[in-house]
Amino acid sequence: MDRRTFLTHGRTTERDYRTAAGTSSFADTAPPPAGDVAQLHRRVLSERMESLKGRREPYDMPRMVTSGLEPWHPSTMQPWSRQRAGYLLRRTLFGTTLDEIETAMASDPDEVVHLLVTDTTPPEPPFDWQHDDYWNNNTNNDRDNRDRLQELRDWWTERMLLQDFSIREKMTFFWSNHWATEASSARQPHFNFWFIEYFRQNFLGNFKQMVKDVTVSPLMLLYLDGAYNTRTRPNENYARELMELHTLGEGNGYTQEDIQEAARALTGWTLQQTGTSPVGTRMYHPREAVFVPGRFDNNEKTIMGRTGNWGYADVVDIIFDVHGPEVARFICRKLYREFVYEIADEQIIDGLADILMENNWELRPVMMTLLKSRHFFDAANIGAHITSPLEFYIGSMRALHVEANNVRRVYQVCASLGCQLLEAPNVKGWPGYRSWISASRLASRWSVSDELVFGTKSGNPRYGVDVTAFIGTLPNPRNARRLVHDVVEFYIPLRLSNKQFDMLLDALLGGAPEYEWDPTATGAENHIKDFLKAVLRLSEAQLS
Amino acid sequence: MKRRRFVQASLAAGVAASAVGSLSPLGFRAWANAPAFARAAMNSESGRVLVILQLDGGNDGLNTVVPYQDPLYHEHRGDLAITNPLRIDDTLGWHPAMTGFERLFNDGHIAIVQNAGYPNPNRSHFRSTDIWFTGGNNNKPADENSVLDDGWIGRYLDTRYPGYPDPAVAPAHPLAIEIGSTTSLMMQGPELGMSMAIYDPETFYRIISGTDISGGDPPNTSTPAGLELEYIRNIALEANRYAGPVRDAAADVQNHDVYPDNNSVAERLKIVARLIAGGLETPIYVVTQKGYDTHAQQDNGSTPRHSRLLGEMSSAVAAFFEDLNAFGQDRRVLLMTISEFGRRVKTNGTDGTDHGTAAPMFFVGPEVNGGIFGNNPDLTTLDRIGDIAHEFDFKQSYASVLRQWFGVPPSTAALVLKGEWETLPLIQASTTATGGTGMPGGFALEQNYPNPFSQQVHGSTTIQFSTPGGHIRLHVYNIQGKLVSTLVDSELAAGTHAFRFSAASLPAGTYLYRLESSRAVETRSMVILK
Repeated sequence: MDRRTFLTHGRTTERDYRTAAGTSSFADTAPPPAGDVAQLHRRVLSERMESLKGRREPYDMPRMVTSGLEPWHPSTMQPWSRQRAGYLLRRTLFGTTLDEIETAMASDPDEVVHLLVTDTTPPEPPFDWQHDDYWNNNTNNDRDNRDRLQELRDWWTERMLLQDFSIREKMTFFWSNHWATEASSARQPHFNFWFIEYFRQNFLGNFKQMVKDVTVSPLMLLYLDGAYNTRTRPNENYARELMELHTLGEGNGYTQEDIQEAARALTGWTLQQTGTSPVGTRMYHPREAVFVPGRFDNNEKTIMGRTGNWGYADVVDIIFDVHGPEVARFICRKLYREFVYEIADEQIIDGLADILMENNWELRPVMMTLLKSRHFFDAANIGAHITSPLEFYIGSMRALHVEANNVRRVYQVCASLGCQLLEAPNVKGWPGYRSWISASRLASRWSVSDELVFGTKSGNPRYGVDVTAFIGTLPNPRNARRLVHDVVEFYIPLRLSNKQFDMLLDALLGGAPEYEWDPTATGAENHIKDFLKAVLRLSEAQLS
Repeated sequence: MKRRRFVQASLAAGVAASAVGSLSPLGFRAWANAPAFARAAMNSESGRVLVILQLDGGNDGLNTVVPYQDPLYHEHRGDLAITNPLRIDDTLGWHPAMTGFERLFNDGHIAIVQNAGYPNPNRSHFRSTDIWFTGGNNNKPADENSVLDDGWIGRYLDTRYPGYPDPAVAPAHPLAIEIGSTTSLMMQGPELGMSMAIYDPETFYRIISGTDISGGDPPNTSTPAGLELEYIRNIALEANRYAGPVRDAAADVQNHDVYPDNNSVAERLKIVARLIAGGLETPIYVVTQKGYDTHAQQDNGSTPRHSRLLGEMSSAVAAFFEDLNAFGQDRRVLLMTISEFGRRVKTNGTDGTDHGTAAPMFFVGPEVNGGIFGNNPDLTTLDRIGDIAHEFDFKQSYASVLRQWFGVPPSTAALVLKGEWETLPLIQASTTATGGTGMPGGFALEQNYPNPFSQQVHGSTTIQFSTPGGHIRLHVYNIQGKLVSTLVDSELAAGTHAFRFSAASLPAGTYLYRLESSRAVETRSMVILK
């Protein structure tokens, strides 16, 4: 069954975002269906699991979200609003700011999407150890290399905090998780740097070319043992993950024999020695591997029914030739799950896969179609994405204008929430979605969001929300009700109940009558902090 | 013939009576007011705890329980072969890093189940882990039990706590705890997750307090957004409900100073020991150790990887049981290891091993039938990939745990495991166990026999226990924790003693009997029929 099949109402109605008295109003949807909610949940879970396993099912039942890939155009009933602009930006950036929303509002959605996916030149890092010649006259011990690795993590964190109006950083993280690695695979951090930088520079590149490039990238050769995979000593580690995790999905069109044959075809590639560092350590090229004929299995291999003396590029070509539609659906489903919802709509996936193949594996047309579509902007999808630690914490910092003066600590906080850059839990990367939230992880989120509001108690320098500055960005902070409404509208993707709204208003007023509210009064700052704390602790605040 | 039927029927009745959800609301309130020890004993089906230790990445079974006399082992493994194992018998030995396991095994506290796996093995980490977590299979063509969307423990807990998480029936303590930050598919029930992930009980409590989770409208679960909101709300609710009890259990309990330093498994098991000793009634804990995917440089170099992993694991488990023993709690704890697969028999030429198939599972605790179940790995008839054929389906081990450890009736075990699986006698039969043999101090309370019992049919039941000597009390309580009978309150000589207990005028139902000495306390439950 398709995921939405349990639905009783069919199409979700989408209404205007106009404000109802006393509440912040958001995507208003049909009331919960009558009947056994637990049973619904059970069916949804079952469909979720099937979807996770990439099964395809007939579409003979009504669906939860019925809109397709046709472009969405603002209308009187569905205007280009701050809510929709905020939604688009939160999904494509790490959180968003009021300024960015205003920028988007000054344009139309097509132009905004176009801007988001446009190729731009990424900034240069503030260090120079990524260059080969650096290593000729500098230290190369483990301690200094750990420090350099930390510089890389700090810089990556800063790129997200200070990102420009581009999907680049979101895609960089996406690819780094698609081709998950662990920092310890390489002794020097410039391997990691160039691996990530490749994604930053090719954030919407050609998927087939990316698979080839990653296959012979030095870091991947180290991480999945390709550098040790030789004619006489085959190692099937990379061959398996290439098919299972990078292109096809588990058991989807290949056999154990295909893996073993592909492993033979992938032999020959290893790291290229560039010299010896002053302390006698062998140094290898961090960007380009080398083909050593003597290590290559120079015999026929049969992969997916095709026989020849194949090499690494042939392996990729064969996978894409023999199973093109499966590969296209596999990667489009992964993109969909990153940018729309965990449970993929297979009709939409088919449409995206067709676009990917028609465009010879270029990814940009796929993302533009998806982000402009009625399906993407469907009200039922707004707020359906559980934020990652990066989206939650860095997004909150950006939303609240917290100064990025201590990126080291930001990196550490994200690590404590379950997402340590360059340390994916395993070769499959972070599973994401609901795994980001458990009792302990939710508690950790509450703890760090409190700290953002009240100021960090440790670290140098400390940081936190400048409440006066933040309130100054709001249109009418002197009206308590309006203040609550505006913050919620800006930060929370879903509609809150009247009771929740009142709870937030109470937190702001701290027992004082509404008409006495004055954001500049002595002590008002503490009330605003109590209010922001309560906002960030909402379950709704974990969604985007 | 007549008696046989009676025993079977009453066994089922007894189990039903000990499941919380089957009690009436009135019964439940009485339950909640019962003393902690009584709830612990009842709620946990005689207070028993299962700790699942996941060896994540695929542990190399051949280099864990080493067939060191098998020439084929040395031929396939070459330099990776272990030549100096810790002797188990004339053919098998432990990896040399596993001194902790060696000691536990020699004390009779480890059962090894050899060659555990499943037919048509899948060599993907993720799919095979799912199969182990769900209790599924990899049959070709797939059947309705191949890909399951809930976990075997989740399904078990669902039978044991029907109605969860309805506040009216949800137990006062978490159903299952995973030490760490994520929950696994193993704990997914038919409708929702059954476990909570916790690391540090104090910090957890401090953060949770002060969150207002009330006031939201019910999420619209006909939309994706509503479904995800409902999920997060449920987690928040569960955190609020259980933060206090977990903190309370951990408070005032200090682990004994027996754990190795710099050992992530030990750090996690320490928390489990604290919660158990502190009276938390949670029956299931999960601890994971990562890093077993040893494709290259498996066990050489200055810090041999597999040695480090097995050494940490084995010393942590040994310390855990030492700690529990000092608390007087080890007899109610069973630890079981799982791993998604073993490794390829032949080394892959990069001093490592690729994904394989069957491998040994370990069952640890004073109540296990220590020893080796199954044959040595058969290295003469490998499959076409070069892997070991499985001898036992891992679901047989699961069935044995459900049946023998938790006392689950066969029909329920078959429901949970999607079929009937032949069990292995992994746990000492409580009715036949000779008290005191496996326990320092010689203090042990046995399950009464017969149980359940009827005064009309049996006249009385016998409660047997062992004591090292000294003042002993044996009391019987009803489910509300009210004392109904005192069988012993006197000095007894060291040895095994048996006392008859007659139900007399007591109403039918579940009762607890509790043995106390100055050094230890143990509680068990029994069912009285009319």
